[in-house]
Amino acid sequence: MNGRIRGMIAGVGAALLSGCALQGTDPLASGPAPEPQAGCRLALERAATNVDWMRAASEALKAQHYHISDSDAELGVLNARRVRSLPGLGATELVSGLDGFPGMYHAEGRLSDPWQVFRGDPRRIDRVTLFNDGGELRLTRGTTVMSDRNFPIDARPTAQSGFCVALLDAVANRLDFKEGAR
Amino acid sequence: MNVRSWPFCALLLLLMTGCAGVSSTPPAPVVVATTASPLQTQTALTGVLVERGFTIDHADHDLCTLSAHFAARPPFHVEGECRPGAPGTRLELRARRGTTWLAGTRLTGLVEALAQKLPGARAVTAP
Repeated sequence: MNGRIRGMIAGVGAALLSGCALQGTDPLASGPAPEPQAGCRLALERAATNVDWMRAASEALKAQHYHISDSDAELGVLNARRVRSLPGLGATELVSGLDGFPGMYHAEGRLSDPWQVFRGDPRRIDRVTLFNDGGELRLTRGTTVMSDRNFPIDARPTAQSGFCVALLDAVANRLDFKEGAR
Repeated sequence: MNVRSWPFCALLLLLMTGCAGVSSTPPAPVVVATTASPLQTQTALTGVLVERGFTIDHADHDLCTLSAHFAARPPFHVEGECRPGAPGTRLELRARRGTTWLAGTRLTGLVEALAQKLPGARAVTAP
């Protein structure tokens, strides 16, 4: 084996190992908490009680097909969850080979999924938490993509500005509407 | 299989074993003592976790329990349970990543952040 091949094997091995050890952001690390994305906070009006904003947030979340998974009005925390199918990755239609084993190629000749990794559609699970932190509503979201065999394909915090602004604007609008109705 | 390839296979097997999650028994919790009420303590813990990007799976102020989740591969889980102390509150914290429980020293950052929100909060059982 020449040195070039050894180097390639070592490189591939290192890449695989680094994949196992992917840490990303460590949420338990010492030091100040990371700054939230812009728009992921909403200053509540003094008149709004926890029940008021939680009702408004429930409506806003349900409009985005979330369901409320847990809430505690005394603590001021509301949790919601949404599970969506991700068609595409699981849309591979296997064509069996002549010998009864899964075929390597589709009828059209494109590469298929010989090891049946993607037999069903993966699911995207979004978890959202809204918390009243001393009069300021804070929003976090985490997203996990699971294969049909419950293997986590991807998982990361996903409280980006676009999502936060849209949701918190919807909450604020509903609160203003209720305030006006009074 | 070529006889010369067995060390490579053994090494690969060893590496793959390292990737797998290993169940372990829960360690002794990190205990934080504070003069604040159980509700104040639980509110502070929720705030600290949300600031760090956790989503709350379940929170109950009557039972003073809380579990939180951070989306990662594997995910982080934090569990908190508090009991009225004399005086104040004793908060027990545990964390795991995937199925592996984390040592108490990994919770030092959380305890420090809690101490900023709850004056007088200190770890009774050293993390």
